Amino acid sequence: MPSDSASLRQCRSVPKGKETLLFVEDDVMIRRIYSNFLRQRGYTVLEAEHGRKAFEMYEDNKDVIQLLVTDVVMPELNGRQLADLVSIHHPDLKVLYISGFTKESILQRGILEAHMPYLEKPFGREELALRIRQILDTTATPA
Amino acid sequence: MDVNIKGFQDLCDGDPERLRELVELYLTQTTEQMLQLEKGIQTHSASTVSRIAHSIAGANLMVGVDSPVPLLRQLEHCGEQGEMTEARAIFEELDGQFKAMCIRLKEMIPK
Repeated sequence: MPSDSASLRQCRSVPKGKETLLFVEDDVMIRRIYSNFLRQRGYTVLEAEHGRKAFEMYEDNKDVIQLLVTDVVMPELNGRQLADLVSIHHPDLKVLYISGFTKESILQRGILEAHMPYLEKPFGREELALRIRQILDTTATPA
Repeated sequence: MDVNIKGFQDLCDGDPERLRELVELYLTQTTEQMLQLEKGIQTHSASTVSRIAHSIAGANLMVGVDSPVPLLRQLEHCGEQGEMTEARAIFEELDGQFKAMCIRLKEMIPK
């Protein structure tokens, strides 16, 4: 277990950002924990609890949203369906998928493709921030 | 019952007010999900049982409350397999564990 000073050093080393993210997660506690942390790191975070609301929020804020972070398995509109819907008009939007299912399970169900950015829950807040920075700093997302 | 709140504390960076809010949110959300789980078992909705058990397990892992996770994984499996009789027995054990944990957590959070 890291000491307090080690935690502080680790926290300071977590990358920051000024971009706007749309965070879609149906578990309110998980959504709040990650969103608040990302705000502390400088991001503007828009939150949606399901795919339909996320799509509406995206439409209202499409000029500022630079990354969609979405849970994969959600009722009605899943994360992949949401991303596909958004990409019809905005194919360059970057997406990070998150889920409590293993990547193998998600691939077996045919929901995602192997090259798609993915984080399996539970993951640390720092891990999320690093992955987000990595994706945002990448010039192009594979189709 | 012993409950480890280190996971909650880490997520709140040592802030007692945020710790209280997070524990209250956890208790409110999990209580509601346990009711949904019970309803799913009563109505033999295997997909509900599987989905809600998976969701509670994920949230518990997030805050470092690992002890109910094995029972939740068993329930998730029962839901996937449609084994609702077994699901009921597991739920009863889980419910007892969760109620004891709620009492302990309420004692541990800052007033």
